[in-house]
Amino acid sequence: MPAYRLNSKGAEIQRYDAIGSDSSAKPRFVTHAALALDDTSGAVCGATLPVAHMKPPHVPHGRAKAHVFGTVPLTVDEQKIVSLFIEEVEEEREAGEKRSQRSGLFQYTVHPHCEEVTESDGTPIYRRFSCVGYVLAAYGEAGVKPLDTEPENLPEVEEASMKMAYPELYQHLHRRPNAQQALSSVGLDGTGPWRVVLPGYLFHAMNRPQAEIRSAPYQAVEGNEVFP
Amino acid sequence: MPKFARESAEDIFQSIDSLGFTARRVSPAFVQGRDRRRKQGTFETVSMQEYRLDREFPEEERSDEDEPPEFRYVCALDLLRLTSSRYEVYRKPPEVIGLVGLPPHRSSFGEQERLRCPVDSADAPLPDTPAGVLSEFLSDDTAESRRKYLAILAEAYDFNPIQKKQLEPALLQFIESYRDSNDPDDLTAVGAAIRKYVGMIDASRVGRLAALLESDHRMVLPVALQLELAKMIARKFAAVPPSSPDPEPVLAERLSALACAYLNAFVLNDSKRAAVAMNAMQGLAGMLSPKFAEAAKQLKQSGCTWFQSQLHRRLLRLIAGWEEHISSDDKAGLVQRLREMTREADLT
Repeated sequence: MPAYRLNSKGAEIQRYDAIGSDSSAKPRFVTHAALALDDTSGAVCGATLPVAHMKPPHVPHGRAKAHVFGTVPLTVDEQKIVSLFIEEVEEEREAGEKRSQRSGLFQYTVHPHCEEVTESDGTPIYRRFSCVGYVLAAYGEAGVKPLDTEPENLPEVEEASMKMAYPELYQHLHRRPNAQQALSSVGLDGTGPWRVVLPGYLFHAMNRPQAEIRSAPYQAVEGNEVFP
Repeated sequence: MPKFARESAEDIFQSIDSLGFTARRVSPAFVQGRDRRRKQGTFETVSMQEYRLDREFPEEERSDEDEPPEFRYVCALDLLRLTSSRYEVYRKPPEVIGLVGLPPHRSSFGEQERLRCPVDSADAPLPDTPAGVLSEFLSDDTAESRRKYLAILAEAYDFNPIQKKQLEPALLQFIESYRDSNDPDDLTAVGAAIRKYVGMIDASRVGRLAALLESDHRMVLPVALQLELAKMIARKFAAVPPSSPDPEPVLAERLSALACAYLNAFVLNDSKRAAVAMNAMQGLAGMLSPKFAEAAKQLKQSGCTWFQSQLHRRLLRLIAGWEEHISSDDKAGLVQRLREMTREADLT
């Protein structure tokens, strides 16, 4: 199976494999997904790797801890297409990051996991992603769709799990004087539950035979936020 | 984009209070700090007040599982940071001192933090309405570093038609003023301005972008900005199909020159240049320009099959998008033309 939990033995990670970081509060609950930027040999659990990712506000950019990883694996041509996607998004991400630092305008979105922000005539000006949305969009550009992201096919997620999945985001937004508006700005209206794509789902989707990853999107089920 | 009004400093300090912390002034005197806004090569000096978070934690509170003191401390710290990050003056990492009442082993957060917040009236909070952003962006009194940030901010706001008429020429002027900069921060601001400007203008005025792609300008447009420009031209014509084939021949000529400069196997290995070429090709296709066929021929000669098949996939997406948008019979011919161009290019 092409998705693994890293251990102390070390594993081979290929460029643009998906890597996941665990929650510090709950073991094996995956809270972040990113694209590994380089081939890495001997990657151990907890290794900090260079990544391309969409980070929640107040999380350092450019590197992420790897506790799990998943590989399609992508062909060299598909990797080139993913590179192209990363370049296309980069300036938008950079501007979004500067906005997030100093205002309440987040490029990061939890739900939907990716969306285009358009002008009145429908021209997209930039894209917003969640961390896992960014990885899925990159793979999608290369024609690989490992996960079924239709909201009606996603399990419901309670607020407690959302807090676990997005600890920094909640810490940042939850105590804002207008917290509800702040949470709405990332797509979390009301008190839940919500049908959202959580990072752990990606690794279950990739924990299947390669042909299946490429041919049939995985339908996430309750509990998939944890990757064993 | 969903937005919410940013809070005043008073609201923030009140929220910090509600967490059980007090943002205390460390010393009664103001300290001096450097402003990142440079004027004529010198840093401005502003007055700032140092704050730190204070809180005694009684023993019984430390076992509160739902919201342990560490969690509340991080929340309070984020709020305090938000106050200082409103301004452009904060430069060095916060000075960290011990958090009263928490034994060191409890958490890495068991510390107090001191932050500097500007108190100079010149460091006004950023505007948080389209009118506020526009008015400051247009004002001659606005410092250039602040104007650059406003360009980034403007991208996320929805302006009404009257505001757009004022903003459009100002954004174009901003783009022209900073297009030659080699400062990455400037490029981010110009990139945001390009996206907003092209997004806002009517499709019939896209031709004026040709001036930004002049090859005899004193400096070549940085690759990052070539990408933003090509991407936005492609997006504009994907959203608003042209009223007739080849509506902007001069722009198409320059877009084609740009694409052809990169359409060879060596250069396409550079992902940024490949992205420029990809979007330029999409833009040419979206304009139904005859230049597309020439560029496609060069692409085929390059032997870059991955690029060809990706372009083919994107053209099919473009066709599908147009089919969704166009319902009138008089424009059905445009979709047909695009389909023919795609087939003739033979990219599969």
